[in-house]
Amino acid sequence: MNHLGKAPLIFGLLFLLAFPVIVFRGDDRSNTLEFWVFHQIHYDEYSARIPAFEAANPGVRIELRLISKSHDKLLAAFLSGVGAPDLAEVEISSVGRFFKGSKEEIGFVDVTDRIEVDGFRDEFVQARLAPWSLDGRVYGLPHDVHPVVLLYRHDAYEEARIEPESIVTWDDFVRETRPLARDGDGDGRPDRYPLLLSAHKPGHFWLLLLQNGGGMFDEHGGVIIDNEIAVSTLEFYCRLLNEERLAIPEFSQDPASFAAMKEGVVLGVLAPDWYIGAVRRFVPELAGKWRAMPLPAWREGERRTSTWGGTMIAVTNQAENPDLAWEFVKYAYMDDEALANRYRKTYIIPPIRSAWSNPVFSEPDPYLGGQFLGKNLTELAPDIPGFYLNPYWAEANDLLRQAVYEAANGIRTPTEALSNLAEQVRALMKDTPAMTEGGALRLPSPQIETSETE
Amino acid sequence: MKPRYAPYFFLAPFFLLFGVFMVYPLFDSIRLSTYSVRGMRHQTFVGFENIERLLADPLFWTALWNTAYFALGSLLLQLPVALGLALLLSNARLKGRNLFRLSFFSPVLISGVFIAVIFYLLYDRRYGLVNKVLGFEIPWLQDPDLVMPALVLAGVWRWAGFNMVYFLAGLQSIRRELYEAAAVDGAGTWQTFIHVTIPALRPVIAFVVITSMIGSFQLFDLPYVLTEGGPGNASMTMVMYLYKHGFEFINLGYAATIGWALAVIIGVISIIQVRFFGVFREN
Amino acid sequence: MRSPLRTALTYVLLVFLTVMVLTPLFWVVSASFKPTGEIFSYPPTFLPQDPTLDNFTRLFQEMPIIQYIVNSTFLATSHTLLLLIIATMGGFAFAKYSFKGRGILFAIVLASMMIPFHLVLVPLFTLLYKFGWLDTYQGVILPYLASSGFGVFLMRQFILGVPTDLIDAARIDGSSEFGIYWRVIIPAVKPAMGALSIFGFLGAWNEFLWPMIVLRDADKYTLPLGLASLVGVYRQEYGMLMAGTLLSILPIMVLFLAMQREFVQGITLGAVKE
Repeated sequence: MNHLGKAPLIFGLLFLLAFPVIVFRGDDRSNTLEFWVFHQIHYDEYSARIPAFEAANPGVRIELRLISKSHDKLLAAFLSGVGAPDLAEVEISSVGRFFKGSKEEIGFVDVTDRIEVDGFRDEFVQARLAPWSLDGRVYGLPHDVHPVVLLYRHDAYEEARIEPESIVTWDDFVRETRPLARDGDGDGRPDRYPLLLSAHKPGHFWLLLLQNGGGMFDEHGGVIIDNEIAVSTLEFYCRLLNEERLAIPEFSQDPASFAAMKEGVVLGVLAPDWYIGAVRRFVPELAGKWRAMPLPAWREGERRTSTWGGTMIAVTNQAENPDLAWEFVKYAYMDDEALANRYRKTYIIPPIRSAWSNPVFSEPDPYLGGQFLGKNLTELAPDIPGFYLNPYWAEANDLLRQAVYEAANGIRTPTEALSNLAEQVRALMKDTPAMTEGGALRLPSPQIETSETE
Repeated sequence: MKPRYAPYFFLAPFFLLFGVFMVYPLFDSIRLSTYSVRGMRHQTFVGFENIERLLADPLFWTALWNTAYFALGSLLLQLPVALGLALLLSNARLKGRNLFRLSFFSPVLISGVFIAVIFYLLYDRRYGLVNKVLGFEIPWLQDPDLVMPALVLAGVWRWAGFNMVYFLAGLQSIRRELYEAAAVDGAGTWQTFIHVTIPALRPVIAFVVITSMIGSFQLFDLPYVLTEGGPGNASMTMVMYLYKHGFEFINLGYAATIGWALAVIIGVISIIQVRFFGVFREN
Repeated sequence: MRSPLRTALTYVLLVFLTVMVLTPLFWVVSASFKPTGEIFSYPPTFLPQDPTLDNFTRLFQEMPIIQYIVNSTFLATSHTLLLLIIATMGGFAFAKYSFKGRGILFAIVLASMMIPFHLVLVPLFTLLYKFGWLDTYQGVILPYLASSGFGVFLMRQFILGVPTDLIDAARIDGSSEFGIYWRVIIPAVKPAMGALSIFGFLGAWNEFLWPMIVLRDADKYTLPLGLASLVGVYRQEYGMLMAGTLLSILPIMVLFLAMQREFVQGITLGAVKE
């Protein structure tokens, strides 16, 4: 064999070393539920709880898989009609991709009737069922609510003698926090900013737009992204970034923004529950210095929260045993004790109201200087805005990114950017009417509750 | 086995695989390019409509321009750097040659996805190493005019050492007599380089130009992780655009059209290059 | 012939360039020993201020990293061995035979390099299902080999340089065609095979998209797939990712060092003929 040279020998040897490990791996797949998740924390939580489910259901095995690009993979499985798991979690920003075309083409099982039969529909924050609903039919259960608060540096506010209570509207915010954005080194730019807003990604703008009562589509599938609400929201957004210089544009939810917080450049962030968890994890140095307040309202007396991010669980229509899969969905998503544990680890507020009575949600939080964060968040949670998805969501969202970028960077005025965006979405809907067969995604129930105070 | 059949026997493994795994998908993608595919299974025959739409799609042209920018930038920057490195290392008496060679080659050892993450950290405006060294807060990834140069530079870092190896090999196989003859004629360093080295390297240059052009036109993982095509669409490439339509908008027909347009463009450029360098002339 | 000044300048330039190239790598090494908070700190630090093995211990605790390395090794070596067979055989046919359809077949080989792999992603996925090959290693390896005419092209270039006289002599001695391939061509191009195997191994070891689509069972994941879950929308474990990147480079670094002589010699001998 010597005449073959070193390469085949070395690689052959390595191959022979790895081969037995790969081939003689035991594998039994009978009576199993395959479940795809995309996040390590979810994976850890479920893998800790699966043994109990398996013990309660003899013979059943749950195969939990952590897949970083699970959405692409799930889509490939739906497109080819094969290879999907029984259960999958889907992130809210990717969910639009799965609701294209007619109802029959949706890869998830319609669970509306199951929810009715089990009778727990009203326990959920209704706005949270909307993102995975089409024409009043529900295709998934929410993992979370993700109410948004304004996380601010208490010490900086005190130093500048700003009363958080005096900030009720966004106009108040502009007036009151102006002293924070001072330019100490005289380079013509503030060294500190009361807020962080992205000039490249639409996330922050989107949550402010929702808070203001706007959206991309109305309940009939009409485009409303160029209406008065949207334009004024984007104008205000750009004003904060460019004229007032109250918001720093460089970072989004990247780790760089955590560094900027640590450094004291960023004194406030728009923070959904999960993001507060990330801040706690990545900026432990600032323990005790942060506080949370409800978002400033757009007009006095109006909504003081919004929502950002989210995940759902769904049974796929390739599941062999949807009944069993549904049992697991309820087990994974609706156990009060598990939901309380999740809050302890991540600050994530469950979408089920009955779970909020757990004492953990009324404990003072040391990271926020003893503030009753859980109580504040659960009070805001019922008030989060809902929004109407639509089969054109993926394209529209991509165009929204472009519009926010153009407006925030002065390439187009907010009015121009949004009317251009709306025009493109309308053209798309006109050119490809086949997509509208399914109609708009609707809220399962038309009303969005107002906040309940306890 | 008769010699007449021998070549077919030797070609069988490749063409068997190609036949089984590529022929059907390729034909299917041609078919798809004449359909409007929305949703999981909703297909409508539209003939050449996708092509018409493509030609009128400003974003397609943006993506094409960005991709061509990257390819040309790589060609003009990366290949001279690669050749320069090879020239520096070609001196046999140079000490530590292997160490230098390994150093320059090492970026290729890293998976593209991680390279993107590394450069994401390096290019960070305030916390990145690049700006720390330069002493300015340059918005590499936020400025539409800087993002493509930033990608080209990352590409140079990743591939220059790889192409250096080819040039090194080419340089070592140039016959010594050519240099001696040039020295006898009294040619200087530069003249020797232009009149001896470059012509002798022509086949290697051709190979490197063609393969790196093909690679550049398929640029995906670097901008996909590093910039997501932004700011705006300033770093959107052809394959990213294909991916976006295929996997985000579920418009498989249009995605296939973009893919075929890209394949045709690469094909045409390659043919021009092959003609230009005369690569496949028989010996 | 060379002045000392010039030699000195060469060294200075080389060292400077080496620093440029190695700095990002050094930075990976440095970051993998930093706590996550320090990776983003201002001003950025070159060396970890507060060195920790935390990233590595967590990596080993939280993911089956050894399993990933074994999987990657298996996948990359089988890919490499098959690539060597396919490429040397195909390259031999194109370089040393004239036969009907050679032009068109060679054009197909070249064209296969130019087709964006993303174009065939979905139909290929469907095809694999029909074969029942989803979530299998053959499903990852074989389609990928089919799309890489690069190896055949490269070996053709090398085999062109093997003197035809040798082949004729063997034929006169009564050698079979396969015997010529096995006893004349293979020994002549073995350094080139070293080079090709490095390329093949690197490509398969680092490939991300296709194994990501095909493989489902986390136990079958390769290193890049496993590590990719560390950074995402809601997760920023950059320290662990850097540690993982370092771990993924080390094996190939060693392999490359072991084969470096063959590798460069291989490319030199063939020197990409016209």
